[in-house]
Amino acid sequence: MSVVCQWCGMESEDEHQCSWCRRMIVPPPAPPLPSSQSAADDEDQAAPAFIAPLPERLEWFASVVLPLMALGVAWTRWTAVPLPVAAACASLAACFFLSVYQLVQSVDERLAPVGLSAPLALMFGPVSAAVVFVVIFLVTGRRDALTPFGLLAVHSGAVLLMAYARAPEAGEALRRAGLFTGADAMSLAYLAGIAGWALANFWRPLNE
Amino acid sequence: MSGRAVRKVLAAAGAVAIAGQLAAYTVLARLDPAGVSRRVWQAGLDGGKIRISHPGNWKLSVSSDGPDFRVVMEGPGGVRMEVSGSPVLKAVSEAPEEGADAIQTPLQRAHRALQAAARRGLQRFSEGKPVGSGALGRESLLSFYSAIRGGQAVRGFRHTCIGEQRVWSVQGECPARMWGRVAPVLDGVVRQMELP
Repeated sequence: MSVVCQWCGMESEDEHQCSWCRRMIVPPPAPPLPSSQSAADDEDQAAPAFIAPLPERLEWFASVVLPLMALGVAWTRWTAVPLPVAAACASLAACFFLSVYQLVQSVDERLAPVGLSAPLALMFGPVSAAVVFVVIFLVTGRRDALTPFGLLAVHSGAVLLMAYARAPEAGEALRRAGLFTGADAMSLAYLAGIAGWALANFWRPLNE
Repeated sequence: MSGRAVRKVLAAAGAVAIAGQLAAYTVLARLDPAGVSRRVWQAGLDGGKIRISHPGNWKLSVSSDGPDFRVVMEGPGGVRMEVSGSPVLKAVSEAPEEGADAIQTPLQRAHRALQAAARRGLQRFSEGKPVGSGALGRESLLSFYSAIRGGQAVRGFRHTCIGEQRVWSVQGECPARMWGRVAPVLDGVVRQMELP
């Protein structure tokens, strides 16, 4: 019996390992029993088909991103790389792995809210933009606000780390990171974060 | 070791590496006389304004001893800077003198008097010839010196200028071994200073 690989989209003869891309094929979970409650749920709240448990995804993310950020901190501290460039690289890497490990939703599903977050972050800083999306989520319960919030939060953390490596004083690092002000070169680093998030789509399962 | 254990070890190692670096950089920044940020202290004086921008990890104290006004800044590693203004010295410097002093300008007389007062308590004091400088925004005299203070070799400089109501003296000093690194910092503080 052939199955469709969730990674490359090809039909595989082996139902456990894709005969094309050699990656493991995860069987889709059994469809939930129909009930009045599940019928009321909107599309956003349906469980994704191919996705590992959250703790496992968080472990993957932390095991890759934390060592990378440690290297980034050393790179920013001991080289003359401009701070906005270091911040952009850190943001790109962090947001890329945030998406690769499926901790936020993909470009296909959340392009509009993330696109909206870009001008907000560029003009008012990523923290203000993140607050806007948290408020939207709390007031309306819309889960599509969580993806831009996750990107903004991870971006802010990565940028703050690089700024602190360059200027190890809390107030000065916050000022240089531009988390609350926006409208400067550091704000553009968020565009790199969005690019990392979009780039990760090539590594996400096609039918997650 | 299972894949999950490897991931946990990697995450922990990354977190420790980040925390360790940040802690080390914080300590290094606190011990660096150049500092990271700049703080500005200013006050109204003599109908004008005194304004000093200094590294954020320096301690600044102000005292008004009778007619004299004094601001002392102390940085890490024994770096010290003192800004003092004396109306008495201005009167002395402008008083007509006789003999060899008569060929000196008031600024030269004030500078010489300040250096003579400063060398008390110092051993092996040696001073270079004063040169003209405009670092304080007005005509001033600058001289460099080296000495032994408390058994430690120090190097420093003194700017002297005559303000509206006082003779101002700006003295910077640090251990001799740190001079190459600290002198540009002290010079930067002097260049951004405003005196009434």
